[in-house]
Amino acid sequence: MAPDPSRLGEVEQLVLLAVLRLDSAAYAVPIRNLIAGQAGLGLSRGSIYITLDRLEKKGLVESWFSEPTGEPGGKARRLFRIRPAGVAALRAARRAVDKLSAGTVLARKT
Amino acid sequence: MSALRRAVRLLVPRDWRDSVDRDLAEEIATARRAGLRTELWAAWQILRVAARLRFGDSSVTRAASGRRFPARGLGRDVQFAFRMIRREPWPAAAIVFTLALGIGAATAAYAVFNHVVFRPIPGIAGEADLFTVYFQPADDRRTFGAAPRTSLEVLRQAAGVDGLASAYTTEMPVVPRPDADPDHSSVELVTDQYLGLLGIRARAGRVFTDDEITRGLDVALISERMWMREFDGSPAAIGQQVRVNRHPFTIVGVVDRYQGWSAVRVEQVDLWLPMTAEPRLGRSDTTYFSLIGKVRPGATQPAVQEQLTAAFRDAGPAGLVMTYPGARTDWNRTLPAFVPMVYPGLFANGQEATRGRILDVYPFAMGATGLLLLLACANTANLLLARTVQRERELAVRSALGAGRWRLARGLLVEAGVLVVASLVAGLATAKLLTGLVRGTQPFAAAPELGDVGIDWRVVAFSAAVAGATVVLFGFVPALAAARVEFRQALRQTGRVTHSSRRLRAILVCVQLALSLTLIAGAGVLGRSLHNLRSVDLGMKPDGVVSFSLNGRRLGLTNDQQNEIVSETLRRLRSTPGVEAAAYASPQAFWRDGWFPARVRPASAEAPDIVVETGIVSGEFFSVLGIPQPAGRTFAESEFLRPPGKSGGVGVINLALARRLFGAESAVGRLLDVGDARPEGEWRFRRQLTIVGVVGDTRSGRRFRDDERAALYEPSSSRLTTGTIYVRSTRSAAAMISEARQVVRQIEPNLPIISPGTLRDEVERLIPEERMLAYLISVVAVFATLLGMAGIYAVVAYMVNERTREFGIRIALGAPASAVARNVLRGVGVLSLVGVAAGLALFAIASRMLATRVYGLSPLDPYTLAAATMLLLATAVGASWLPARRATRVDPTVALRAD
Repeated sequence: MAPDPSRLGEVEQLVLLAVLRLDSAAYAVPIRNLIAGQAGLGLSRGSIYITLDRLEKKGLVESWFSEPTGEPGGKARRLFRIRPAGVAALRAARRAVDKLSAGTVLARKT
Repeated sequence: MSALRRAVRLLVPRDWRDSVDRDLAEEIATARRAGLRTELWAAWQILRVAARLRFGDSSVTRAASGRRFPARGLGRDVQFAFRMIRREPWPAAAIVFTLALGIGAATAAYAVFNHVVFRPIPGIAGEADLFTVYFQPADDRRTFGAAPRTSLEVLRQAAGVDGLASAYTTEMPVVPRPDADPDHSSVELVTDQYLGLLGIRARAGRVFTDDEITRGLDVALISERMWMREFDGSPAAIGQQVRVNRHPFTIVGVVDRYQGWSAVRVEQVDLWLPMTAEPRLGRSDTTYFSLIGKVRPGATQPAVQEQLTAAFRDAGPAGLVMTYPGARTDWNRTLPAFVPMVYPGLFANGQEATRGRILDVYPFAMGATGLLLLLACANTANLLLARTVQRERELAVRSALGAGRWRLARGLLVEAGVLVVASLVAGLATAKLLTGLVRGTQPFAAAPELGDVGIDWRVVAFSAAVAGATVVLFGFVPALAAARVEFRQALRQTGRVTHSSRRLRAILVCVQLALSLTLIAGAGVLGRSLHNLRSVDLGMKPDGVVSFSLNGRRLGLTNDQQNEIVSETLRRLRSTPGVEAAAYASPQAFWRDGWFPARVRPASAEAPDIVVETGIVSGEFFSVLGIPQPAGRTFAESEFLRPPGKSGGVGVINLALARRLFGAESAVGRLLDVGDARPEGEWRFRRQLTIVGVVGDTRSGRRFRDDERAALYEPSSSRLTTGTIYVRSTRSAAAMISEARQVVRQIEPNLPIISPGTLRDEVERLIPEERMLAYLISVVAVFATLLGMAGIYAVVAYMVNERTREFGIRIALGAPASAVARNVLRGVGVLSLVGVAAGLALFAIASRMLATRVYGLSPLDPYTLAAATMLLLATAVGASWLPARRATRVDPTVALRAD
C-alpha cells in the first residue's frame, strides 16, 4: 500500500512548513535550524534528509541540484521547493487541526 | 576532507552524498571547528545520516504514516539481526566476549613485537631513501672496520650521493639542570647533515644548523622525554644550560619524537650534541664506524656502492680503514680489501642477531595467543550452532511463508556480520587495554622498556578474518542447511537437535579441551622452568645486597682516578651505619655477556688449558655476596687495584676450576699461567699468578645455566674501566641506595651511579624473556580454561535441556537422582577423555618447540602434565555440575507436559 500523500506526520508537516518559509532556498541546514529555532524541536540531520526524500516521493516538494561552487564543501547541493500538492496538504492538515480544535479552550484544567 | 570522511560518505545514498558533504562543511565552517575531533564528529554524523537514509527512521515513519515503513532490504536485515540479538542477548554477548578475548590477546601480542622489531623509527621521514654504510671486507659481512674522519668529505663527492653523515650513541654523565643529580643519559653525537638526512624536526625551539656543527658550537638538543621530565615541557627550557661531562651546552631545541635508532628500532637517546664537541667531552675519537646517506634522485643504490668504493680506493690515506676493536684482526692493519658497504635503509650493526634473539620468543607468544584465538573460535562456533539449532523452527516458518533461501541466508550472514564487527571493536579495546598493561615493562633483554605500544592494523585484519571465517562457517553454513529443512518435518522436530549438529558440537568441545590442555600444560612447564631458573643455586646469598656501578671513564677520568674513587667509596660505605660489608667487582657479578674470558693452565705443566671467566674483585667480594671459601685466603687491601705485572700477582679460583686443574690436590700456593682469551689457535702467555684461595662455585650472566663454570678472581687489572659496588647491609634497598648516592656525590659530584638495584634485580634482568613467556602463557591458559569451562557448561546445559523429557520419564519410573547425574556426567567424561587425549598429543608436538627454552625439567614433565590433566578434568566436571544437578531435579509432570 502506497503512503497516502494527503496525510502528513508531524515532522513532515514541520519540514514542509520550513520549506515553504524558506521559499526556493530550502536545504537541510536552514530547515533544521528553522525547526529548532521556531518549533524548538531538535531533529537529527538524517531525519531531515529522509523526510525530504519522502515528501518528494509523495509529490509534495520538488528538488534540483544547485551549481557546484567554490564554497566550503564546494559540491552540488539538493535544493527544495514546495509543490502545489504540498501547499494543499499543509492546508488540509491545518483545516483538520482547526476543525478539531474549534470551540475548545486550550487552557490548563484546574 | 579526511580519508575517514571520504570513506564513510560512500555509505550515503548517491543522490544525497554531495549535499550531505556540503551541509556538513557549512556547519563546520560556521562553528569554526577544525582538527581531528571535528573530523571524527563529521564522520560520525555522516554515518548517522547514512544509517537513517538507508535503513529508514522508524520514529519519523511511524509518526508520518502510522505504520512501519518498509525499510530497504539490507537495512531490514540489520534491524532484524539487532532484534534477534536483543531478544536473546546472552549468547550474543558470550560470542562477542569470547572473540574479543581471542582477538585482543593475539592483537596485543603481535603489537608488542611489531613495536619492538618492525615498526618505523619514530620521528624520522623517508627511511626508504636512506642507506647505511659500514666499512667491511667485500666478502666478509661479519668483520667491521672504521674509517678515518677525513674520509667523509671524500665520500660526499660521490655523484649519486645526496648527503652523507655520521653519528654514534654513547652514555655520558649529564646534569640537565644546575640543581639536578648527575645521571647517565644516552647521548647521540652527530655530524652536520645528520639530522637533515633523517628529516628530524624540532618540537620546540629548533634543530642544529650545519654551520653550528662544523664550527663546533656548544649547543644541545634534548628529547621530549627529558623536556617533560626536567622542564615540565616548558618553552623556558630553550636557552638553558645542560652540563655533559662537566662541560656546559646551551639547549637550542627539543627533538620531535625521534630518540635515536638501533637494532630494536628505537634507542632512548635524551641528548644530541655536535660531534665537533668531542674534545670538550674528553673524547678523542678519530674514526667513523658507520655512515648514513641518501641516494640522489635518479641514482640507484648499486651505483652508489660502486661510486663510494671507487672514491674510497682513490682517496689514499683518507681511505685507510682501521679494524674496529674486537674485530678478529689486529689493530691498525691496513686492509685494502675494506670497502664502504652500502645497506638499504637504516641498518644497525648486529641487527639480525638482536632481532633474532627477540624473535626467538615470537613463535611462542603468537602460538599461544593463536591457540587462544582458535579456542575462542571453537567456543563461538559452539554457541552459534546452539543458536541456529534453536532457530530451526523460525527459519522453517519463514521459509514456508515464502522467504527464499538466499533471503534467509543473507539474514543470518548479516547477523553474523554484526557479531563480528562487535567482537572486533571489543577485541581492539581489549588489545588496547592489554598493551596499556605492559607499558613500562621490559619483556626483552635486548630492547628497552616498552613505551606506548600502537596497534597494528595488519594483525587486526588477520584476527578479524579468522573471527569472520568462524562466524560465517559455523553460523551461516549450518543455518543454510537448516533453512532447507522441510517445513512439516521441522515443525514436528521442534526442540530436538539433529544428530549431526550434536556431534559437531561435541567435537568442538573436544577441540576446546585439547587446546586448553595444551596451554595449561605449556604454562605449567614454562612456569616451573622459570621457578627453576629463579631458584637456581647461585652459590651465594643474594638477599640483603644492593649494587650500583661507577664508570669514571665517561667523565674522562684516568684509571688511577677511578680506582681512587672506588677505594674511597668503599671506605666510606664501610663506616656507614647499617653496612655490614662493601666490595667491588668488575664486571658485574651477573653481567649479561659474562665475565672476561681467558685461558689458564697450571704453570710449568704441559696440561691442556681451560677456558675460564675472570673478574676483578676486592677482598670482601666473597663475604659480601656470601660465597663460601673452603680453602686459602682472600685478597688483602694492599693487593686490591694495584697495577699487576707479568708475574707476582695473586688469584682466587673456584672449586670447579680447582677440580679440573688439580683434581683432589690442594690448589692453594700453586702457580697459574693465564693466557689470551681467543678460543682457537695457539696458547699465548699473558701473566702468571699464585693461587691464594679457593671459593665456592657461582653462576654468571653468560653461564647462568652452567653449574660447572670455571672462574678466576683477580684483585686488579690494567684495563679497568667500569665496576660495580656491592653492599651488604641491614637497611632497606631503597634507603641503602640513596645513602650510597650521597656517598658517591660527596666524593665526585659529577659521577652518576649506574643501574642501582639489588643483587636479585641483577639476576632477574637475565631472564626477561623467560618471565614474559611464563606470564603470557599463564594468562592465556587462564583465559583458555575459562573458555573451556564455558564451552562445556553450554554443551551440557543444552544437552540436559534437550533430554528433559527423557530425564522426566526416568525419574517418573523411579531412577534415583544419582543415576540421572551419572548419566549426564558420563557424557562429559567421554568428551573430556577424548579432549585430554587430543590435548596431550598436541602438547607432545608443541613441546618440541619448548625443549630449548625450559630449564631443569623435561618439556614433557610427567608431573606437570598430570597436574594439568587433573585441573582440566576437574574444570570439566565442575562446569557440568550445575546442569547435571538440574537434570536430577526435573519434575516429571512438567517435563512430560512440555511441547
